Amino acid sequence: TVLSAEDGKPIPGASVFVDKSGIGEQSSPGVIQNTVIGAMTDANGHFILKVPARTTYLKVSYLGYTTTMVDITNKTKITVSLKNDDKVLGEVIVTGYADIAKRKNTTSVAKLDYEKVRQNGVAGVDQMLEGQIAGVSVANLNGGPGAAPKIKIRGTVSLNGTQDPLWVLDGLPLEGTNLPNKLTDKDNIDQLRNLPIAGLNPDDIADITILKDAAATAIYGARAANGVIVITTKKGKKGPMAVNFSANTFISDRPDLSKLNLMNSNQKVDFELGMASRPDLIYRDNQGSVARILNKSGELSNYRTNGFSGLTAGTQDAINALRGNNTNWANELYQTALNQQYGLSLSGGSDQANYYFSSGYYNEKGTTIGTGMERYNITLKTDFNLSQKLKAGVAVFGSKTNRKNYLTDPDGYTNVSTYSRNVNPYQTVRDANGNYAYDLDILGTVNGDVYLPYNFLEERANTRYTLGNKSVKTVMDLNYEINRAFNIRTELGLQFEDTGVEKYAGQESYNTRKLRQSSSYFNSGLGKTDYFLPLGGVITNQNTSFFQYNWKSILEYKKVFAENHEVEALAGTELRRTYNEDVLTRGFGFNERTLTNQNIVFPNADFAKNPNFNSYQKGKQENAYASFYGTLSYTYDRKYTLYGSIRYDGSDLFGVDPKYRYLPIYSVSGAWNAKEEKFIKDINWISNLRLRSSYGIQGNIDKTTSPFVVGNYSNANILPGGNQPTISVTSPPNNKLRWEKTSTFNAGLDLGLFNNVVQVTFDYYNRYSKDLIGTEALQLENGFDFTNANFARVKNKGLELSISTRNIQTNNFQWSTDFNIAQNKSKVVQEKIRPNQLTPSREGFPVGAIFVLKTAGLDANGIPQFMKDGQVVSLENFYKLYDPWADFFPGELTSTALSNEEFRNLYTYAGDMEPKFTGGITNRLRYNNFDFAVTATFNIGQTVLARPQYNPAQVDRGRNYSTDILNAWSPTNAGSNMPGIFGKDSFDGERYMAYNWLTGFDASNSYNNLDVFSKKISYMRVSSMRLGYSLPAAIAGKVKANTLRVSIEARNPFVISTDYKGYFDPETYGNIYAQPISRSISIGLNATF
Amino acid sequence: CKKYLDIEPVGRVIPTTAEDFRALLNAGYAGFAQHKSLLAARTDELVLNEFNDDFPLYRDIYKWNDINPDVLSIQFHYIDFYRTIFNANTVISDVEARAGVNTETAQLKGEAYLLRAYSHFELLNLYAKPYDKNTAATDRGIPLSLKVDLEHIYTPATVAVVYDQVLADIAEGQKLLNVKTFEAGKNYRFTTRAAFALLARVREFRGEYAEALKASKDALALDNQLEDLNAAGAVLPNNYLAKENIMSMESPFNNGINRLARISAHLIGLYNQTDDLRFAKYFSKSGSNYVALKGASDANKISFRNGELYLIQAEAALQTNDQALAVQSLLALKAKRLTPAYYTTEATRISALDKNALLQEILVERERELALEGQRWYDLRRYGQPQITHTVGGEAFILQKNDPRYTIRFPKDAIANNPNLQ
Repeated sequence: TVLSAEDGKPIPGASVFVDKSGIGEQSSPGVIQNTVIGAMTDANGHFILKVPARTTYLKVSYLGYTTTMVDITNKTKITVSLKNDDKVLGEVIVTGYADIAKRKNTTSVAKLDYEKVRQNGVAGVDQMLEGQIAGVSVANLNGGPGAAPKIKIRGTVSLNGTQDPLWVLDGLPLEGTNLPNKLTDKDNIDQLRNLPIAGLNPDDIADITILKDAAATAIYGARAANGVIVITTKKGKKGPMAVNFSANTFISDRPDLSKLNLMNSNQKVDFELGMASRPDLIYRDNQGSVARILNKSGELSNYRTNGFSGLTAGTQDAINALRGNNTNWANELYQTALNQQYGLSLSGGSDQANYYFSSGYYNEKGTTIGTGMERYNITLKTDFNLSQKLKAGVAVFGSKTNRKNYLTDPDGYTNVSTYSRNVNPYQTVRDANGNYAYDLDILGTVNGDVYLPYNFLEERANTRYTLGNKSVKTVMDLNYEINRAFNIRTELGLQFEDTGVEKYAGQESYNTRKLRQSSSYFNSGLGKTDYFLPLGGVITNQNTSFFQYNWKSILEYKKVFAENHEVEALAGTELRRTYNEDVLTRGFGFNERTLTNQNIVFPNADFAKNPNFNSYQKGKQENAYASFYGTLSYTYDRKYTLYGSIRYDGSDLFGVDPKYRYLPIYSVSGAWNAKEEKFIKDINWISNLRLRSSYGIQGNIDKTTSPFVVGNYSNANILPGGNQPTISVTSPPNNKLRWEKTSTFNAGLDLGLFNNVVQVTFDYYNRYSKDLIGTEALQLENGFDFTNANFARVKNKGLELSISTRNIQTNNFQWSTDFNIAQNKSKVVQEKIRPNQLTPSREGFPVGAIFVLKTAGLDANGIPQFMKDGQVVSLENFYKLYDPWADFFPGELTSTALSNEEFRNLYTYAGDMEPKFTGGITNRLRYNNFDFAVTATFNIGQTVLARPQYNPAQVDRGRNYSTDILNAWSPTNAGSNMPGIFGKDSFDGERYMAYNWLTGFDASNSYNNLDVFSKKISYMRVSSMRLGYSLPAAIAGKVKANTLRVSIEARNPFVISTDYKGYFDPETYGNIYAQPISRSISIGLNATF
Repeated sequence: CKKYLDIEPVGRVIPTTAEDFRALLNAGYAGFAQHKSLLAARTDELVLNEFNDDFPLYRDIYKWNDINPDVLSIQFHYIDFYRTIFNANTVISDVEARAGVNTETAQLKGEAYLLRAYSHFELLNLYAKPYDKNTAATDRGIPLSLKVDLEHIYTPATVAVVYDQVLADIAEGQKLLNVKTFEAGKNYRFTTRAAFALLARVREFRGEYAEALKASKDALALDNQLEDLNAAGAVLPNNYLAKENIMSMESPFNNGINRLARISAHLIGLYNQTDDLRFAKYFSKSGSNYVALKGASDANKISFRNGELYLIQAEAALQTNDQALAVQSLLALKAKRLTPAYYTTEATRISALDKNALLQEILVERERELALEGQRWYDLRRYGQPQITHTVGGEAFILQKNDPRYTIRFPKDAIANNPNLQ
């Protein structure tokens, strides 16, 4: 029988087992080790357990109680009393500054055991968080190997500023974890990045704590406005050395290109023939193989009069031959990849010290051929008890990461995802002689005459883009207990990040050809055009070295007065300095074999200014921060807790308005432990009931915007004979910038029922952000195109619910479920609207509001018509188009008579980009030695805007389209709802204004916002399914292993969704640059010795 | 603690000294728009090589297709002008307060006024109709930027208002400027001579010939040298080292356009190929075509030079009925450009011309002398706006007489950020 020491009542659900374990999988408290012999107490606290003959001790554990070892030598019936303990791992909230007992917690935090979220074949812990915690959204933007996902905690506060949470590793806030906001555009999508968190081996993590409300994050200061993710790594446990070994192999599946519904060769040839037959379509009318064949044979007009059968036999054959080329681009661009992952850890400890050492290797090849990531890790952690009062700890995390890709061209034409959509299906990879077949439809090749040959495979073979990161992070701490009340602690964290990027483009590559072409000049000596870029490759090296130190000193005070009054206080300082240095060097005419390069001899200094030929560049930055903070917590009678925190952040002063040098940030919060009240204490089915509430204020100021004119020193070569010093101003002075302030209110409830068989956490929050700073487009007459300004007030309201249940608990069958769901509703309360803005104000709408133009089908010419004031109007009338030069030069110009405000009012609200509900559900089952877990994540009710498949006025016949375009309106297909393709001269030129409007006169490109392109989607992704089998101890023992477990796991096996036609995945709907999210199957082995 | 936080960043600065403001102003000079190289593609001076891979960048400019240019097409400059104006405005408002009042800061402030005037003037030439005193008060001009103020809402001022500001800025600058000539290498800066030269050009463009004549005389009074092409070792007249150089800030024919430009038959036909010494200096034969030697190099940057002033003087004198001075100015220039024998015949011929024929001669001489220096498009606008034909892919594109496309539309980016420009 297991009883509570406090009140003598039985404890149901406690684990009783024979302990052999060190650190292995699934060893979190309260869960029975798979291979050990164990039992669970029943409702009366009773248990029955048969143990092997030699067993002398049983271990008894239960959440919230100290784990106890019981001597069972020669006993058959035992009674165990478990003591209440606040300090067991599961009951402490690690904030990075202090460990707060869970019963005193007043804030909104969530904690995850790593073993619960662990997935094989995933490079970083960030990706494992998807769907695990209510209010934390993890969005994959790109399916590349180890690509960082975008993490948002409780919606978007900042409109244009950083939206990423702060990552803290064993107390050290990591630097360099911010992602650019526009990750998905062509400038960013192909960039390799290595975030500091990616260097961490996920298997070293013990648990993850997420701080969500202001009361929890205030202690971190301004940079914690987007929430904090605190990572605590594993520690050695007292006992003999435990060895853990794991190996995984995983296979990533080739993405399914058929999801894109692209035209095949036959369809594309017919499509191009159809386009060629229409003289009114002149947009890029020389592109595409059919146009090239007809132009070459001079039979275009013949074709237009007599049709295909009127062409000469040779021309017909040439065109028909295209139909037979069905290059399988999916196989050329993508692959099924075989990947590996290994880990080894040693841990143990004694009374004086404990240790945890681990090393790991991770190798992932991308499903996109030519991409990959490889990582080596080493972690060393030890803690020493130097004396009763003095403790010290040292942790070192080292990693080396290599990522590789090929080089895409600066204009994004050769991005693999766009190319796979755009390449013509009849485009061959190699010609009959085995040489590379060049794509004549890549822009930069003119009118079919190839000047800059481009072939994807050649590009992949002859270019290289690698990123190597070496990272060392260390945390050292010293803790001295002055007396029972006072404790002093100091902690020094260091972070070194050394990142080297190498970009190489061989001589035979589009990249180099393009650069070489830009080096052409007229050589008057030779009397002809010449190039100054030497023959050979071009190599670019960019090295960034980053270093930060973070030194925290904290004095803690803890005392209980008169038994009922508990006081905890803390005061501390934090000094932080960061150094960043980057150097870029370039070599031209580079020979990979001899490693030699040549100097450029510029024909004149004018060329030397082109940044592409810049051979050296250096940047250097140093920042300093000093902060002071304090917290005070008071608990009365174990029932009521009040907590307050305050922090002052100071930072380096250059260019900052003195008013904003120190930012105060504070919070107050309280909790009521209702279960301790007499009237609830006796209600048996309620095992836990707590109410919490908090309020806090956080502020931020943008330090890049100064009230003064701040510039960078530079040199300009204006005339020959020496550089002239210059100061270039990169952002305009702005003295109107104010503090950005966010206040957060949070109310929460923690409920445990039936001895915590059901545990519920519910939170409500309300965040109000005033004077949000964001980039604001400027009129170009300012000399700058944007500035940072306070321009909005935003409210975020949300509900979060997590439920964990233990559904079935028997000796050989267990089933538990974790479920979470969150809703975040944002509303822009106020937004500064510039008079020049053409898109509607979001005031009163969500931050992610999507606005559309209401269409009403197509008109008699197949051009979209619109709804305005309940009436169906033509495109021309909808936009009130007119021709300003109608009198003397009709047809040239088109303009709108709408004022900007009227233009904004054309839009109607369609929905919110952010999903209505997000969440996840995990089911874990165990039957004898088998365990099975399924994790699914879901997004419900999200409005998305697809990219239009084509612009009816600008259909480029040189690229491929989705088969939807075949259904475009035409006089013979008048029933279609897809706009018809038309030119300026179509319909006797009567619709030229509509044509002009669609081809660029519409400054806001509002065609992209037609209501037909928006829709609501919902999806649920099964992100992981894992089946494990723990070999019986007898078999494991044969290889001298304590435990031996094999597992098989499917990652992202399938997704259930409303229609997402035309895109790889509902998650990246609308983004044509995104790489597909990879699916994989992994086989793993885990052994402890 | 304050000390701990006090980091003087490397590479960044808040301008406070005269050197800082010089550097700030230099950034304005260095970043000055190279719009004249784009304008060259719209004139009758060039035929573009369609088979150059850069052709798509210029194709729609060459076709005067401002309406729906291809995505690859280069946009006309806009923000660059205002960035330069921003730097000038900062110098105007801050230099004396921060760095004291002395001749050095006066020169800086004076240069800033001139730079601002010139930027607004060039914007007008690009995006507004040529000056017509009858309609200037209502013709749409361009937005004026006179101080740094992010809240200001910019709308185009009328042509008259912009010109008033340009003239006021020149006058204000002239009060402050105190350097007559900068040494070679620093002669991208405004000087007292450059101020007169700009004033002469502005007055000429406004058809105010008496004022134009006075300004050109004032400038030439300070220095009237010309590069003598008959002399050994003569450099291109637009070279920054040329004796006649006044100011070399702009690249009117940069490498981008030079790479695909061939000289039109029209321009080649204006020269006496053997006796006009400019011909061999300006052009070179490449295959069957002529290419330019005047551009594509920093050394050939040019904004103002005495050669142009002689031509302004000739034109202005003639228009103010001083035909003798007109002939004298024109011949003074020709003497340095032609072989002596040819000069003698030309002098006789020109002295006999009547007023109209002489005006034509001066205008043609402008074409010859100032070829590829960014003047042609403006001269076409000022005189007659004739029809021009360019051929692309065998198809003829025509800029009609008095075509509205002689005024360029505001660029798409500019309209997007400021619909007041529509």
